[in-house]
Amino acid sequence: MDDLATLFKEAVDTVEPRDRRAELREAVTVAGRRRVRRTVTGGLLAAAVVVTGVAVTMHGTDNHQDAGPVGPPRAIDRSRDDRPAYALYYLGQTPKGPRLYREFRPGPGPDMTPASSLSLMQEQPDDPDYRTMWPDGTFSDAQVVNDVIDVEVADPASVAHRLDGMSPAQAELSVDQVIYTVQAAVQEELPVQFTHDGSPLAQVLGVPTSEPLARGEAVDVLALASISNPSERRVVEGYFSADGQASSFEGAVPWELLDANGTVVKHDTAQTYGYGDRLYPWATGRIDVSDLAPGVYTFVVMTADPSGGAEGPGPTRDTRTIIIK
Amino acid sequence: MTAPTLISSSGQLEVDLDADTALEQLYAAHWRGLVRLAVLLLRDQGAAEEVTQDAFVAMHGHWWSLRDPDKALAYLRRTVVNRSRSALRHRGVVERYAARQRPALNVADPADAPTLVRDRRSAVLDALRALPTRQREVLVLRHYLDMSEVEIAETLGISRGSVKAHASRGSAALRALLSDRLHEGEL
Repeated sequence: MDDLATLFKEAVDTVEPRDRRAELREAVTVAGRRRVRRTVTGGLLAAAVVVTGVAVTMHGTDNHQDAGPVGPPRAIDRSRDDRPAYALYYLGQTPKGPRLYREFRPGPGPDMTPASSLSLMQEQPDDPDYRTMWPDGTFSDAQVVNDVIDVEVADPASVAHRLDGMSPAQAELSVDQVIYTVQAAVQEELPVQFTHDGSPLAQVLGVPTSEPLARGEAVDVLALASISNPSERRVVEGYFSADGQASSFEGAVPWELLDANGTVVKHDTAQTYGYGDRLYPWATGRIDVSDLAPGVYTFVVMTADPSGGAEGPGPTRDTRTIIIK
Repeated sequence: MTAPTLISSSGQLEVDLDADTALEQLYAAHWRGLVRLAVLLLRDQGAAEEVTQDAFVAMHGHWWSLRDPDKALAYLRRTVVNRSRSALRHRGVVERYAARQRPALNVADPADAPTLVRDRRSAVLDALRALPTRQREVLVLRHYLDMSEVEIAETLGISRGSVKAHASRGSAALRALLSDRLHEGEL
């Protein structure tokens, strides 16, 4: 347990810096031009040595290799513009019934849009434990209109009622799945209106939707223990650290690292500073894995079970596959 | 967070990765985290973004000698820490005055959790700002970036012994500052 790690993470976890890519590109282009003038004597020589070194590695010869424009950057290829990470919500199973889990995936940028978040959400999640019950193509668009996020349903009749095999809880949760996902994209808790051709829909999956909807309370909707980092199948070397959010008895958040045989090879308990009323951040601090053989491992975090499994529904879990190099 | 894959130090990617691509990838993977690091060191988000942006520009300029995403990240972190220190030095006089003027934090109603969290956030940032620079840097690198003593020593250019001393004095001081400001039992 590392209480300072948890406090520090919490202290800055709402800091969302402005996107400065444009300024940055401008700045490096200007700096590059300046550098060329300045480095005619020293820098280009050093650069030429570097390039020659690379050429040897690549071609086994240093003949006729043009030292080239190493100093100044060429124009940045905007087709490769950076892809922001969208927070997408999916249904997962917990002892308290289905709950939402969050997964981050890169999507169209530079700015996140609710429409892109929904098209990503309709794809299958990376984590095999999560799923979406919305049929592919349910949502055709989403946009913010007068401080309401309008979510356009392509074929309202097909999703007006609960789908086959869907429980009432899953239906309610699927509606919250959409609300949480589009709110994450606009980074504001704006109410959500389901629409078709711009008109409000009376119900979706049997849930009344004629008015704009607020999100369900996090402690009622989200999994009570979840992992934000590491992401699924992250490759680690030497050590890693994990964090996420939880609401767990007395703030204790046990975690385990399992090897490919399911044997626990590391375990400890992270601590949150509250529980019950909302989800609180947890962080493991540094987990040293330099003593473990390379391979595939599973990181598991869970809510504390004060009865030791003797009573109650048992702990809520979240897992990530990590690959130790 | 899923970001573009960065091949680590032993990877083969270094030959292919040019400065612009490296900049884009490192920005995608680390912009937010590095700004947050700078906020812990500086408290002020605007200044933190400035410092971090400067660090990225500097990294881009040195890419020909780094040529490796891991080395570049280490460089970015070092630069953010160093530039935060200089930014504070320039702001020192103003800050010292402002700190004296800042009203004591109100003790929040425990039922009002969001207020409590907000207060705890500012209490942590205030307490960090109240520490001597080296102690603050060591604690943030240790607990926020999970760096080892050796890595901290390399990043700050000080000995391992100094890291150890700053860490123990810093965490004692920070805990003392925080226990004054936070509710009993929260630490």
